[in-house]
Amino acid sequence: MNTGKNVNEKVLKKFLSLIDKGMDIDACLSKFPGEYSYLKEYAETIKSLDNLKDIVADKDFEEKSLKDIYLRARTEDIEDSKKISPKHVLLAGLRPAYLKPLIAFLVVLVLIGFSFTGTLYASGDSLPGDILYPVKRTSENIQVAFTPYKYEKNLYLKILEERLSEADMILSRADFKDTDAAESLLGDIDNTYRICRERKYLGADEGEQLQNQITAVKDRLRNRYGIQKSGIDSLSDDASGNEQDTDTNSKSDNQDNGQNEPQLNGNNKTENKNQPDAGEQNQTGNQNQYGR
Amino acid sequence: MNDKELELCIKNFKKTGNNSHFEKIYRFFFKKIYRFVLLNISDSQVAGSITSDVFFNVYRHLAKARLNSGSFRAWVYKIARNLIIDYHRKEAKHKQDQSLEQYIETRQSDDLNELESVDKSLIAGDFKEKSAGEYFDSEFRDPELLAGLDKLDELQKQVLILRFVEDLDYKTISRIIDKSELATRAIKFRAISKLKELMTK
Repeated sequence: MNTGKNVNEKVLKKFLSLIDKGMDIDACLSKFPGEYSYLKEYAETIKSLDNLKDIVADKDFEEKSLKDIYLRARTEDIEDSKKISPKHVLLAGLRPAYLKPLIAFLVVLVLIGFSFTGTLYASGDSLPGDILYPVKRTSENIQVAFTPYKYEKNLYLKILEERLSEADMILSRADFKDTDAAESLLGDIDNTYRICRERKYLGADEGEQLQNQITAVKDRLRNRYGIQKSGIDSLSDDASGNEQDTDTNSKSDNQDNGQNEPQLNGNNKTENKNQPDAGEQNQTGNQNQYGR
Repeated sequence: MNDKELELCIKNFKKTGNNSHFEKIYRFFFKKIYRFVLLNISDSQVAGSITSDVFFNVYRHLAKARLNSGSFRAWVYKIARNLIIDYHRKEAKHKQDQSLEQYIETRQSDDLNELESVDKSLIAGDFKEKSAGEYFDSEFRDPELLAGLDKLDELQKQVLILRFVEDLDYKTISRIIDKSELATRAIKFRAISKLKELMTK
């Protein structure tokens, strides 16, 4: 019984697959003469389904429906355009495919900008020996590099003031024990002052006042950290310095300064100690400190 | 309209947005979609409204859709099928709400006999639905077939209509009903066997 059912199912599947292949129903029936009576009812059912193809929509309704579609679309467009603000129109021009990476890029840019600005701001109060101090010095070097010549005077004076205030802060802090940093600062003050003097950025009164201030600060630093006075520094020969040729490009002047003054920053200081031709080294150091 | 012509119409409509290209597609598919919806809804008025909705959706979204002729056919029928499902859901909810209201009203009345009869009807789920044949236009008369189709599962009914009335291949049907081709063939086989049994009873 079960086997007979299975056989019938197989025949039916074959019959249906022939119809699926596009064969005529009657032609398919004729292929199975033994199962004609069994398949005939299926064939009738399929034929009756085929008759459903005669169902048609009213032609007038078809036309009316088409007009309705256009009308609805137009109404929706008008409603949509009312909702759209100028801001939306602007954004609509940017396809989402381009908008997303653009927004991501801008966000990253803003984050980098904020972190950079934050680091710069934080480095503003740093002292020699601090982690952020090199950032502060680098930003100063960049400022010097991009400042037009006629505005350099103010910038150098500002840098000199900054160095002096750093020295004051070091002196006011009892816990500051970094002798190397203090020595480096001394060199920086000396060098910046020398540049200001050579380029005649200081007036007579101003120069004298500043010179006294620098001498006081340097003495206090030397006393506190036991830094040896290194021969003739830029202030000790000041009397003659005002009279001497202040040509910044004069090699002899630079060599002289280089031999006698302490190095300009911590990095060059060691080199100065180790190398006999300190004058030449110092000359390079002078030129490199602010990149000019 | 063959596949090439259909693809050209789709391409041109996307390119130019000219309604004449849409109209070609509309006229080719309108009869088919109306027939498919009507056989599933059994109400010519509702079928007309749903068919109109189908083509409105096609008109609105065709420009953005990435379709070839095969996937376009499946897409249009799928829209129709989804709207049919939505309609059936709404109808079922409406009937449920109606029967609940009816039930509450009857409970409020003092007529105990009437109350019992409503209770029985609720338990039996007998809501006096119209048979499919009652809705159809007078020119089509095959109540046995329609009654038989009505007794099939929704999916079985749709597969039979899509295969034997709409003459769609199994690949397209499987896309429309979200089943594999093999599953679609199995559904068709069971459906035709069941329909034959129902019609010969």
